[in-house]
Amino acid sequence: MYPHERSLVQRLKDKPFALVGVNSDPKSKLKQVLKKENMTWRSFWDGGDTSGPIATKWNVLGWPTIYVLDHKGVIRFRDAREKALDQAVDSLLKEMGEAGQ
Amino acid sequence: MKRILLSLLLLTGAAGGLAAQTDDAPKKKEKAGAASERYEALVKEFETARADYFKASSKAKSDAEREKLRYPQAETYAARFLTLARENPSDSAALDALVWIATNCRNGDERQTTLELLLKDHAKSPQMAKVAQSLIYSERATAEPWLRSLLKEATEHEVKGWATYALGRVLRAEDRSGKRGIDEAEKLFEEVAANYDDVKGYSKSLAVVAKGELFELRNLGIGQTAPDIEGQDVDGKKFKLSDYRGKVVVIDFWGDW
Repeated sequence: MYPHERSLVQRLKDKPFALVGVNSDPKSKLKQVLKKENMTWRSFWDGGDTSGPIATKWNVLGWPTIYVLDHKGVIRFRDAREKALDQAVDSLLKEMGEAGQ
Repeated sequence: MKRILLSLLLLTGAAGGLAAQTDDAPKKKEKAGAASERYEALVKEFETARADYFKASSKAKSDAEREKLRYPQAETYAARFLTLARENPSDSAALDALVWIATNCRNGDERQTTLELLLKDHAKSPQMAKVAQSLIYSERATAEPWLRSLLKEATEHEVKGWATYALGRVLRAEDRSGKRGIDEAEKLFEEVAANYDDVKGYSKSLAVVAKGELFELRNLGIGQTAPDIEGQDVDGKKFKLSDYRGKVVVIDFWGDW
């Protein structure tokens, strides 16, 4: 997961794109992982375990759970992974570019 | 005369047999103990095999070596659990064995038979709560009719709660043809949210779990504007999901495990 996320963030660093995490680890562990895995993107810290307020509200029952939103904040894809995730993001960036023209 | 004697003997024999059966309580108990001992031994055998596998896997020096190890599938134990249940139908070990199959095996003929036996003989048992829970991840074709039948038969509050919730989960997922039973799922979750706050869910009550489902159905569908998230990062700095409006955003719920 991490290598793919890193490459996604790296590939789209000049595009209107953001990866936002919601993390369920204890804080000390999260700090270690962010450093070790060189994660440049931001994560909400959700209280240290899987029953945190954000995961509970969003009814997350399995990890990772992924939502893809367009630039208007509308949910467009759910649980796309790897290649499918790249394609989902690319299609929304393209759509956004076309809308802007 | 001989014949009469013989009949008499047979009669007394039969009576003795009857008496033995009623007097047999200690003997019967021993037999019952034997069935549950057999059950415990089977569970132990399976768990030891799993533990050995993980031990060997962590010791393996290469992927090739690791691939040679055979993961002990629960399904390969199912036939023995089922035999045990069938040989001791009135023993509590039978129910334990059937529940083991239902909650550990994902597929196989034994699982199908087990589900049928559980409905037929044990629908009123409190143990059916965990069986209903395990059905959440089964195919709709199997899970839906089974849970509907259980709901008709069950009398335990906890079982009814889990069966209602599980049926909702099964209906809200896509079946093979891509159909979803969202409207009925929503009604079922409403029922659970209203009536099952006293039943334990995953980490909170079953009612809380159902409320999460309702929130998801109503607010987190494709095409809906994502609700805002307000929180803080690892350094305690506050930020919001809506700070990223104008960008394509991937939200990743993750943990390092």
